[in-house]
Amino acid sequence: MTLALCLSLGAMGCWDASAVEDKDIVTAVVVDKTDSGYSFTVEIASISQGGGSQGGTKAPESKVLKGEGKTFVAARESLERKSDKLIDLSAVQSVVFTENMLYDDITQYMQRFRHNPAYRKTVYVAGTRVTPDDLMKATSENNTLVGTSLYQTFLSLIKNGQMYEMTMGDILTSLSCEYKGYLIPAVDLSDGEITLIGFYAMEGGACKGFVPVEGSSGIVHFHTKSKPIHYSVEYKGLEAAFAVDMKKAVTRGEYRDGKVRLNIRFSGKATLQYLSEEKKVTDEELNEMGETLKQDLRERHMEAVKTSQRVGVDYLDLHEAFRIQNPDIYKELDWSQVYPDAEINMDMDVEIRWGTIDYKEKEGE
Amino acid sequence: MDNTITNRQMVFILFLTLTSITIITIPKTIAEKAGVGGWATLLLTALMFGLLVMVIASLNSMYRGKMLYDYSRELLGKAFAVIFAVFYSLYFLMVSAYLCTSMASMLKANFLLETPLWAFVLVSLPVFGYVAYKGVTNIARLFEFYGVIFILAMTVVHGVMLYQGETDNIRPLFVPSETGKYLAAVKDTIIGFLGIEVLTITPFSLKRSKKAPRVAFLTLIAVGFAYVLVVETSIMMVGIHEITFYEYPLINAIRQIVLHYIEFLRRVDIVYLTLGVMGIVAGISMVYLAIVEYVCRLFPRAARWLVVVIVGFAIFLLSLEGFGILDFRHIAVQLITYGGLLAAGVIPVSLWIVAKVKRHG
Repeated sequence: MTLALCLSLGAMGCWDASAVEDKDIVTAVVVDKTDSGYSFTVEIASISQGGGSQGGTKAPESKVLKGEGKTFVAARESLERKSDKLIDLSAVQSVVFTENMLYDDITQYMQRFRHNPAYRKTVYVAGTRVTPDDLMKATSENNTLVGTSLYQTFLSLIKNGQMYEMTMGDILTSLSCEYKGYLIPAVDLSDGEITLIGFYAMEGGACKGFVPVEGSSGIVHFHTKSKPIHYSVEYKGLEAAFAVDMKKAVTRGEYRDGKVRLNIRFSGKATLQYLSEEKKVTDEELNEMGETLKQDLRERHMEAVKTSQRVGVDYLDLHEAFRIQNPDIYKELDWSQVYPDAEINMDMDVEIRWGTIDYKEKEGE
Repeated sequence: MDNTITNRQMVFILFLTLTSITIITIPKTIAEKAGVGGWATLLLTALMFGLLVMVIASLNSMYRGKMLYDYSRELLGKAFAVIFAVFYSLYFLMVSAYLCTSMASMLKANFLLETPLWAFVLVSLPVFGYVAYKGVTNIARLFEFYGVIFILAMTVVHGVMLYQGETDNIRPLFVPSETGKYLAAVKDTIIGFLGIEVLTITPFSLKRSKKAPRVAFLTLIAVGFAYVLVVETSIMMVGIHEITFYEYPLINAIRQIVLHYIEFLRRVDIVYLTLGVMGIVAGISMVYLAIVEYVCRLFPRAARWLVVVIVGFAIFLLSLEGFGILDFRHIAVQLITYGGLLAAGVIPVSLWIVAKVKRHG
């Protein structure tokens, strides 16, 4: 029976059967807004023989195609005319929007994306000020495919706790909500390497501002429990490095006197990693370092909140906590209007711990 | 041949038949009609249908080894039995066309984009027909095997979704001011619990059939919880507003699963295609069998293989007709909902009352 079913399902697939050599397998898509409309620049991974070689081993070879048109449909048709095989989007690893596109509107493209079952919703997304042609020239030591390189960069940043998962599927989820604030990571080229430089603050399909990576510390903790992040603080001329393991923020929201009030509480553990000098410290001194660290963390996270209020986009998802606690009030509010003026308090509860290196001053020493 | 089923087989028959296609579509229905408190709607409907399935199971227990046609003939006479058999045959024909078109549309929309819709039905009907030809005992054994695999796969997939999904998407769990909306959504979830009427063709075996009504009730409650798990995890993955854009939201939710560390499981939706479709196959086979059983009762001299072929041909034609009607599946859902209330509710309850009255009389 099962065999018969498998055979049946296999037979049904005949219409969809297509050899992998007969497809242009796309690994990265760059969407740009041009003077005359839109453009798609795609990176196609070559699977045929004859790739270049690096140090005796064959490196994956790619080609770049560009399609332009007044509309997305026209741009896609232009791309298809240039491709000698069927364009296959099922292996796309990264979608990149140019700054022009982000400041214009990505809604229509996202609706195209939603409609296409071949596109995986888990594709990583980024924005860039680099032109599509320059971005496609980016190379890295280990990987010549831009799509894979972007994917690996994001994966590594997520593992390091410097970024949280932001996929095309996540953007669709944000766009369909009543309040549509979210972030798109911004990448640039530094010595030919793809580098995270900050985030584009999006409301709906359009970008409202840019948050540089230097001012974005703490953003990750609002969204997810991340891997420990390293912070260093100055204490009596010493530099103390801590591994800070934070939980996701807990937010309490209320609406009083026509104003939104949010109380954000962070909790976590900070473990002493090393001191800039080989010096023994007491429990009391460690606690004082901890207080300095807490103050520093509070300022960083508060700065993240203030920046989002200044930009006018709640990309920290504080509206979610308010909506959950006050569903009936939330329906009546225009979060875009009330968020920039919301009163926000922050509480930082970090437990300070000794690390594995023994800096502890023993009694009587 | 002992043409009966055991309690365990009944559990799997109910589970797979009820969830066959609805499991894929119900997150959208709940998100649209009920919202975050949809779990309450689902459990309430499960409770109501749990009572109805108890009625059917207790009728089957009262008349062990017989199906609805047989005991309705004893209770109300041949004319009513024939009317019921014709009604159930047409009703199940409608259900099977709905299931076949839904299966074909789901496969085409998500996996086999170039394959024509008719091909799915044409290729799969002989398989369903063969299962139906083998009779209720064989299909019940098949359901035991499929059921275990299906439930295992479901547990793993939804366990991962629970871990990866965003809990904020399903909160608050209940908004008191929306209680009316949750209650009103019950009518939209009825389709998810229709399928209990297949028990009208599954005679119970003599062993432990007294426990059958209670087991059937608990199975319906379990189906309710399974739907809650599917709906909540799908909404956690996709979001309650975004999920309303998809006709097959479960597939889209599964596609959002990211398993970076398990290379061969990158496309979890393909795994679902293999295991999840088993549920659809089982559901359609069961409904096909139901039509065959009723038609065989109506025409006792007809060869079973001939009935199977004719029924298959009828399902194929009706499905082709369905593909040509723009809003066929929506119309079918409406018809099945009202027809199902008769098939799973009014007729069995009436027979149960008559049976009780006659027994006490």
